[in-house]
Amino acid sequence: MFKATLCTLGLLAASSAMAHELMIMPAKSIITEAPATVAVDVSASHGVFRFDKPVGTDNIHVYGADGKRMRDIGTVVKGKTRTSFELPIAQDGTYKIVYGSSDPMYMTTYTIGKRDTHKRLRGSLEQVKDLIPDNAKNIETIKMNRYGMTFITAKMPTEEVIKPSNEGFEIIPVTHPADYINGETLEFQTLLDGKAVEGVDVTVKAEAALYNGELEPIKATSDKDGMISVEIENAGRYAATFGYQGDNPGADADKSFYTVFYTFEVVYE
Amino acid sequence: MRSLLNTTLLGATLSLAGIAQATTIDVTFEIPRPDTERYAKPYVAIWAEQGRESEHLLVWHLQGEKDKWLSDLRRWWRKIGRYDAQVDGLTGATKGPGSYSEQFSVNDEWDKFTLYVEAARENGGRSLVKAKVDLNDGQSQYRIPADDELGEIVITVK
Repeated sequence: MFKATLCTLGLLAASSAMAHELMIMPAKSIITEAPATVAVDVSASHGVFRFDKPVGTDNIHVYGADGKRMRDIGTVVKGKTRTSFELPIAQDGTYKIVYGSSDPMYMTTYTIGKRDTHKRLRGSLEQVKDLIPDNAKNIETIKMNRYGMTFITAKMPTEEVIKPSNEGFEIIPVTHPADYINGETLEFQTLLDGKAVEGVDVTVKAEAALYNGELEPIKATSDKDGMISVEIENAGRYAATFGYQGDNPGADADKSFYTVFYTFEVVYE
Repeated sequence: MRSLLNTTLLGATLSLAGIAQATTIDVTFEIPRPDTERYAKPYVAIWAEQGRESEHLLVWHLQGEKDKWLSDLRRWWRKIGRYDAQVDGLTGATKGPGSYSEQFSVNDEWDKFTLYVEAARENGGRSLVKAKVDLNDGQSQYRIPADDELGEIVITVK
């Protein structure tokens, strides 16, 4: 019981440190045909579909319709509130934009003193061990992997960028992103190293909530096949956050916490 | 003997083909004249769907230069436009307000299908309407009430 509470505390600490949601916002996600240019903004934001903080220019990866990583994504500009580029779409098909560092972040927590005061440090146990007092208790390290993703489709939808790589934590759109229609159900599959994961939580926030006061997000959890279904009633832009905590397979941390930020557009039909 | 068999088979195939006649339908519709400052002629598409299959019948859109607004006919785009490079053969230029009558032959193997009509106007609205057509129920005319971008539609099965 005590451990469970601690675990939750650790998670809370982790999530408050990571309060910014990663938002990849293309000007359009469905394009009639190539060649075309699409403006893309990436921002670490406090609220959905607002610009807040820019992201590093080195960690933006775009995969073309052929599934290969694009070398030229145009000039990437890091501003004060966002990082922007204009993506050249040379071929028809589905493109995937990912923002995320390949290096995980670590958070080490412990309690100390008579009142079990909760403390946290940024870094793996190895990195922060000299900073932890000898009388610290309940030392736990969480490894955090997070990335943002979105899709753009020019003309016909293709599957190359949808296929799982079977490495790390992945959210696979089962319903193709070019087929998100109001009133229909969107399906996703959650995978960890290619295996279905049960218990992944998703929270979907609507951009329209900024204006219509309906701030209650849609929530769902993946089943034993890793499947998550979300029914979207209205067209518009949405930001989904998928989160999962599991045991860390390596010695560098006790727990792993995975987060995927997925922005998408639902077309009115 | 062998050639006789072949002839018989051929004959049987021919008579089968004779039974399945192409379904011809007339679609009469109106493009309304909305009271607006910046009027642009609407894009119009007509097609039939049965289950997951679609058959393209008509699209009127901007001719000439590459048309980047075709995806504004959203359902038509999702079902047909984005897949079919050959759609070009069944297109025409956009047309202004007025009454139109078009004749189509629909897939002969379908005895039930849904006929869709979609219209989208620049700086304007969009209408998507449909009618379920059943060739076995004896009904020869179907009416779709008027919508914002499309007047009343009458479908006549021949």
